[in-house]
Amino acid sequence: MHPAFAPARTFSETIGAPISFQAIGKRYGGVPALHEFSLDIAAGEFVTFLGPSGSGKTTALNILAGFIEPSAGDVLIDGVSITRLPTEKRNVGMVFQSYSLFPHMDVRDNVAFPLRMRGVPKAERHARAEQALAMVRLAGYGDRKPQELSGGQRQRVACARAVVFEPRVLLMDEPLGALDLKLREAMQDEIREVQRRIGCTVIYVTHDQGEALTMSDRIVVMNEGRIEQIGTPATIYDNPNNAFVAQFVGETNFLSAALARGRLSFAGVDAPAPARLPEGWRGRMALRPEHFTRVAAETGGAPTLSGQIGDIAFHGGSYRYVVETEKAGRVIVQEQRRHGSDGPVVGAPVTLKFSLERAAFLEG
Amino acid sequence: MVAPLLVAPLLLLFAIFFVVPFIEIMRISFSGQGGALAGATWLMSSSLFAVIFVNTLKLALTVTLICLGLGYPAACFIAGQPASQRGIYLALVLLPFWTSVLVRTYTWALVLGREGLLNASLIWLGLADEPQRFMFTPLAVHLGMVQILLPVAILTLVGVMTELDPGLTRAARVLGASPWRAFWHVYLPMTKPGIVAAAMLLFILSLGFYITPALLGGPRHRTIANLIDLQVHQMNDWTSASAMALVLLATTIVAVVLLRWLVPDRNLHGGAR
Repeated sequence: MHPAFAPARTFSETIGAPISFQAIGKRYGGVPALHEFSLDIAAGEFVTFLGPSGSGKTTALNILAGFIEPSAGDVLIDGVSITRLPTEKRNVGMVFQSYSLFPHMDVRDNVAFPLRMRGVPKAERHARAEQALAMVRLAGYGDRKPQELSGGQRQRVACARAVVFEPRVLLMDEPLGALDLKLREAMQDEIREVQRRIGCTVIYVTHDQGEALTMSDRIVVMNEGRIEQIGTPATIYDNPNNAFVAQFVGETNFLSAALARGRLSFAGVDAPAPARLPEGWRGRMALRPEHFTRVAAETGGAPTLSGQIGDIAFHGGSYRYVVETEKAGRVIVQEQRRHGSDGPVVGAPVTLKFSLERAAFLEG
Repeated sequence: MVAPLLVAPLLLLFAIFFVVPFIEIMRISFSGQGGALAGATWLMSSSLFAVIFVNTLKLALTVTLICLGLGYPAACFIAGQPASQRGIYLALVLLPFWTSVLVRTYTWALVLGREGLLNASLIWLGLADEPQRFMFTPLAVHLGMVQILLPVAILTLVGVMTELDPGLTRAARVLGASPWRAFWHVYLPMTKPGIVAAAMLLFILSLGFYITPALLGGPRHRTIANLIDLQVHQMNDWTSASAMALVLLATTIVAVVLLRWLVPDRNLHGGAR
C-alpha cells in the first residue's frame, strides 16, 4: 500500500458498475470518428483507452459522459441505457486534463460542488469534501484557491472532486498529460490506490502506452475510430494482434518471414518452424528489444543475427542500442547491465541470439 | 530610460487637454462673481438641477441595466459560436457602432415621429386610430441610448466570455449540475468581471450623453449634459456649468469605487481560468 493512504479512511465502500458499449458509432459530417465500438467492462475494472490523437478514444469517453451524442448504438451502465440521459443524471465522476477546477471557488467548494448539486446540506458536504481531500493528501488545503496550488495538487483536487459523491463510474481524460514525468509516475500510483479504495469502475484515456501498461487491468488499443485489440497489459505487449499494436505499445523490431516445408526462413536464417504457424504462412515477426541477447559467437540451436553496434543509450539499469545487421536492417536491442561483464561498444561487431518462442507473428 | 519617453507624448496631450481645462473648471466654479461658494450655492438652491441630476442618474442606471439585460444573452450566443463564425456576428454588432451617433439618433426621430414608421405601422395594423406621441418622451431617450450603447455591452461581454474555458461548464454538468445550475454556479460568476467592466463603461457613457437626449427627449427630458450646455450657451453662466461638470465627475468616481467595492479586485482578475 502506498504510504500516503495508510491512515484508515471512513469513505463508505462503493462498488463499481459494469459498463457496456453496444455498437457505438459517431460520424462528424460523414467522417467516422468511432466505428462499431463494442466493449463490455466489468464492475470495478480499470480499463484504459489507448491510442494516438484522432483514434476515437476521447470520443468514446465523451459519449459515455454525455458530452457527445452517438450516431448509432447504445451505452449501458449497470444494465440500464443511459444514451438518452442528460449528462448530470448519469452520476459519473470525471477528471479532465486541464483540471477544470472552478477558479472562483476555493478548494473545499470545488470538491463539495457535486454534493451541493445533489442537495447535501452544507455541514455534511464540507465534512465529506475534507475526507476526500485527506484521501488525496491535501487535508487542510480547503481554504486555498485552485490558482494557488501546483499542477500536481490541482489534479489531486480534481480527483477528490470526481470521487467525493462516490460515483460507481470514474472517467479520466488524460489526467496526467499536463504533469512532468516524475510527478506522473507518483500520480499513477495514487490514482490506482484511490480506485482500489473506492472500488469504482474506471475508464482512463491516454496516448501514453507506458501509463496504460502500468495502470490498467485491461487495455483497449484504438486507431482511426476502431478497436485494434483488447487485452491485459501482458497480452497486448506479448501478443499484439497486428503491426499497429506492436508498434504503438512498446518498441518492436519487424522481420519479414515465410514458412515452407516446416522451416521458417527470415533474414538469411533457416530455423525450425514454431508449431503454432500453418504451412505456407507469410508475414512479419515482431521481436521486442529485450528479446535479443548479445552472444560471443554463433551458438547452436537459437537463431542469430550478426551486425555492428551503432548508437548506444545508457538507461541506468540497462543499455539500449542500435545494431546495423547484415540481413535484417536496423535492430533495436535492450540489454540488462550485468555486474562483471562488458557493456556494448560502438562500432564493435556483434552477434544477437533470440528465441522464436517469444516472437509475435503478424499477418501481412 | 526609454520607457518614460514612450508615454511622454500622451502625458503632454493629457496635461494640455485635460489637466489644464480641469483646473480652469475648478477655478471657475469656485471663483465666480458670487464668491467662492457661488457654484455650490447655485447647485444647492436650483430645483432644476436637483430634478435633472436625479433623472440623469435614473436614466444612466436604467440604460445600463437594459443594455446588460439585452447584451448578456446576445454575447453568450456570439461567444458560443465557433471562432470562424464569430466574426460575422461581431461585424453585425460593430456595423451600427461605426455609424455616427448623430445619424443613429436622427434615424430614431424618423422612426418615432408623428409621421414616422412606428405610427404608420400602428395605424396600418389598426392598433391605433391616430398618431401616438413617441418623440420627446422618456421612451424615445431610452430607446435611442440603448441602441447606441448596446454594442459596447456586447463587445465587452464577448471579450470576457470567449476567454472562458468551456471545459468548466462541462465539468459542472458531469458533476451533477443541470444546464441552468451550471450557468448560475459557474458560467455567470466567471463572467462577473465582464459584467462589472461593461456596467462601468455603460454607466459612465450614459451619464454624459448629450445629443440623444437633446434630440429625442426635447426640453422636458434634459440630462445634466444638456443643462450644462443650457447654462453656458443661454445663460452665459460658467460658474454653475463648471460646478455641474465637477458633480458629474464626482458621480463617476463614486460609481467606479462603489462597483469596485461590490466586486473586489481579486474577482476581477482571477476570473478567467
